[in-house]
Amino acid sequence: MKDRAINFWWKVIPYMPFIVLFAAVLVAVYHVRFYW
Amino acid sequence: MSAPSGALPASAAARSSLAREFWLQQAPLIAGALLLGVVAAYWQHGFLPGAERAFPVAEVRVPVWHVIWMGVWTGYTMAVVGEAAGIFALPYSMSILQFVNPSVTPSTQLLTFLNPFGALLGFRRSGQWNLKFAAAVCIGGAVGGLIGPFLRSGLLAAADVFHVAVGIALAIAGVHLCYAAFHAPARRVPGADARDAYREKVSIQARVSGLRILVSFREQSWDLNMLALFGVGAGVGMFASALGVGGGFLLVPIFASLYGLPMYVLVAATIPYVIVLSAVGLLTYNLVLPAFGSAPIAPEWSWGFFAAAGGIFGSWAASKTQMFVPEHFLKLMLGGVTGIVGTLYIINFFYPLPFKL
Repeated sequence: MKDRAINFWWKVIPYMPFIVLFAAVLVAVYHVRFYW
Repeated sequence: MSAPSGALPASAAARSSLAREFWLQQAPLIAGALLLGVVAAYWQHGFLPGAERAFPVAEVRVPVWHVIWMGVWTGYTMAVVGEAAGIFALPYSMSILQFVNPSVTPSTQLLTFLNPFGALLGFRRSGQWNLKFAAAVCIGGAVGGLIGPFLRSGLLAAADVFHVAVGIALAIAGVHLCYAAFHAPARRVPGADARDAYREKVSIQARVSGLRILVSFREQSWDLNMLALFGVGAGVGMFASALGVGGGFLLVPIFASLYGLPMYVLVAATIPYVIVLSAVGLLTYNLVLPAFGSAPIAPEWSWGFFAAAGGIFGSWAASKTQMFVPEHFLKLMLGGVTGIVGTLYIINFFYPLPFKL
């Protein structure tokens, strides 16, 4: 079970910057929508 | 088939050393920055600003978690491509969070001051450290950090002119990232050497004779003029501290393309440089400007500390995962975004665009 979780993380790491950037865009849109 | 079974204990050991490194080195820094953020908020304003009550200096309402998140994502994505958070955090603060008054500059400068400490500790431990090599460019940075804030309070005081200056900086960073993306395969040739440099303890030597300094790393050496290093440091420092960024976006391409220094050697000078420049810049904004009759530009201290707490974590996470990330595509993407935003800032000055920037 632990190894499966670790394998999952190894697979995710290369995509991490793109996931983070996507999350940043979502948060930015949220801020523009509710705080501007 | 023996490789995976052999690799498992090693990766378990790596995981535990990674966890130890995080809890012993990074977590105290992050907790310290968060604590300083809360203390600074109460000291400066008497309350903790956020989503309900606006940050009084920044004049914007934004949840504290969003400021920390800004530090995390800018620190992470920019550190993965070898840049610092400032050049992304500054336009994000201005355009998305609407922090548009002059205080945005020293507030971001506080982020660029604190952010590189994690990296500094790491590079010092791996031996990528030489104060003689860093000295000339750092002294130049200190001089630039004294002049830049005067530019900010004079020439760049108007919001639209400041946007153009940030636009130019972003365009430069964008071009540099795209260039680096296309030239990455050629640079990768000495890759094995670079990976070794990160894995085992190395040493960067420097010998000063007259005005020249001979920097050597393994079999390679570079003969540099200290006056030129000082001049580059002062010029970059002036522009960077006027904007509120660390200056790495200019210094790294200059060192890499003009002097041919590899990344794992130039960090010994650029990381201390960013820290010195940001410290002197902050000092000038707060103390030197009023001493010369200009109004001080106070940072939103808590903003800088909260963003830095996120930034320290982001850049540490990047340093640990950088090797597994497709750098080429990411550089192109970030370079494209940075370049486009910079160009929009510049166009907006001459032909106002139909949307808010």
